[in-house]
Amino acid sequence: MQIVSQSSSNSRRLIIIGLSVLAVLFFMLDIMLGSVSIPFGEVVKIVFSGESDTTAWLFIIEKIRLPKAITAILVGCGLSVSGLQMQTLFRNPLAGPSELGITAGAGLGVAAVMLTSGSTASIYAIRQLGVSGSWLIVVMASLGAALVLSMVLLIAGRIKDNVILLIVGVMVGTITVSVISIWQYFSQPEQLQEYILWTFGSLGGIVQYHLCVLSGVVILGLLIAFASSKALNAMLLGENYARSMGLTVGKTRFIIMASTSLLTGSITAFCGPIGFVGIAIPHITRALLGTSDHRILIPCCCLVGTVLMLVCDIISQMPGTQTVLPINVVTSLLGAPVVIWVIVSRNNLRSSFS
Amino acid sequence: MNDSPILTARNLSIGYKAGKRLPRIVSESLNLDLFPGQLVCLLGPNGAGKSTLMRTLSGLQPMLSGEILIDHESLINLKPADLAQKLSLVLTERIDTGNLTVSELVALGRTPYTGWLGSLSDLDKEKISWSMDATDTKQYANRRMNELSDGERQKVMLARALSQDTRLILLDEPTAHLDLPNRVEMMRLLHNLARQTNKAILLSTHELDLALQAADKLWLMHPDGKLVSGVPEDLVLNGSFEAAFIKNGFHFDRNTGTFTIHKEAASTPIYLSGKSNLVFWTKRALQREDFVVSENPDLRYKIEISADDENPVWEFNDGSKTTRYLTISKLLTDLQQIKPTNKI
Repeated sequence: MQIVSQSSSNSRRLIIIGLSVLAVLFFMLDIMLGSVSIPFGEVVKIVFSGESDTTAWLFIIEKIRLPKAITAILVGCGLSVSGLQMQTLFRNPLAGPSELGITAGAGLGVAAVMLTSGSTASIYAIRQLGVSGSWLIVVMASLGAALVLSMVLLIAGRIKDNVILLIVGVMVGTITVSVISIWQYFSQPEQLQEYILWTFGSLGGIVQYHLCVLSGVVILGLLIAFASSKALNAMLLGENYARSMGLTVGKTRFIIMASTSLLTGSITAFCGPIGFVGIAIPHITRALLGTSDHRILIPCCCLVGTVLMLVCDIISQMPGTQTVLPINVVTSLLGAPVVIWVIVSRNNLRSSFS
Repeated sequence: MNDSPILTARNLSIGYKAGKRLPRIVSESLNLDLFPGQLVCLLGPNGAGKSTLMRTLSGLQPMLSGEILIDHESLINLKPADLAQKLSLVLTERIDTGNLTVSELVALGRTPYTGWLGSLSDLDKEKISWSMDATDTKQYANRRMNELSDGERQKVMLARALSQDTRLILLDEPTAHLDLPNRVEMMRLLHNLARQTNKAILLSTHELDLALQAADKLWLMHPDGKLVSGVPEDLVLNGSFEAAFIKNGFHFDRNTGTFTIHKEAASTPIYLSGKSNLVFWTKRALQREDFVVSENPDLRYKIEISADDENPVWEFNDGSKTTRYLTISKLLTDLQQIKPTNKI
């Protein structure tokens, strides 16, 4: 991989630098913009020194906007890397956490916690849970994600057809959603309302230990993903080649699934199902960098994911107005066209995987 | 060839385990040896179990019984990582990782030797460079896989297997999607590689005539799962070759080493004489028209081919008169009259 020509590695470096600059820029912009306008200088001062003359501004930045921006970064990194891993694992460009029902599985895990605890609280109330509760939610959501992922893998693992995999994923997702619906059917109207709010997705309200738990799990998932990038590269050639190159395919698959489930599960538990980030960002990154090498793709997916999630968050705040759009709506508006682009440009579909 | 074999199979049974029922045995009591420096072609009709054997030998599919030794170590006891340093594969499945450049794909062959992140050492780079030279793929090192033709792709896949630096290479139908010049080139390449690098190369193929020319040894798989091995010429002369591909309307010509489409219909014998290359092509034309070419000069119909000043002339004698033709086409048109009428 080092035999890449000089010019392409130079332009790659430029793109990475550009993305990093954009990431910092949008991070600052995301903190700056909102229903209360705070001058840029003050924002910089608060972020870097943690002091301000106006306590209200300090509170808004430290307790609301900063956690939200960090959550956006975690979501952008986590979902896009989990999508990238799934696309390589299934050798299918249409694989992604929300498309194959993995987020629905995580939702089921969250629902199961609420159901068995007998609590009147809904999923949306996880933000009121304590530390142990948030760990329980993360574990259950990850297990739910892993359950659906292994089911899809079992049914469609050997099928190379892109569209069939997508259909199987949608079906498994539908079954999962149905199970959740049964529970919903027996729920109180106010719980239902809160559940529906959860499905819109939200980056806000994750503070203190919740943010720590989320960051910890996402960083762990990302590290596992990066450590398996050599294996992911070998998986590009398909399982038979991977095995002939000394990979224990079962173990590799388990590690990739673990990482994917942790990332998708934890993020979905806290932020609700956020669509299209997982499928769209790996494609954008691949197109941008023109490589399939996961050692480059994983960090760059994080960068692109960070930039785009911050942009989505900025758009969802509707700068200049008091309205806030649900984050899931914004990501779908941006992500769905990318999926259509992937399907329409057949060459793209053929050349990335399958 | 005094070396000990790289791959040995003793009393091997291959097939598929079908749950609690009896396993479906494709072939049993196979005894095989693969020596370094040899190019071995595995031939057999469709469904004889070529792929099953290839998959079993490469460890992708469990054997039913018997044992396979690779470098004196049992295949079952070899860890995937160790096996990867002894055996590399080129599979039939088409790889569509369009974003990978050729050099990146060839570098993947070094996977068994690199560290946890897959960084390439100088030795790795040297091996990659060598295998791209050996397969003549360096010219498109920076091109992407989806920009290559099938023939170029297959050479790249071979380069990847070479960079894996194993003494044994297994190729499953490496010539399957290639046109004739590319097939010939691939076989020539494999033949030379086996000689120059002292690797043992086993490939399964449907290219009978190419295999006859290039292989040091043939493994012939019969439809009933029996496997005969030997030097190609021996197998042709003792009839094993013919037996493996026996089928109606199909005839193996031991004189030319090619298969001919032989029709059952009652046909008219014709005596043919003349220069050998002219006879060869005339014979093909006549056989296509359901005539039988005989070496008996007492037949009623005779064709004599003579060549004056490079221009061949066909003289056809139907027992009463002799006609001269300047092309096979005209000859065939007139021969239609003496053909027995086809009753359908």
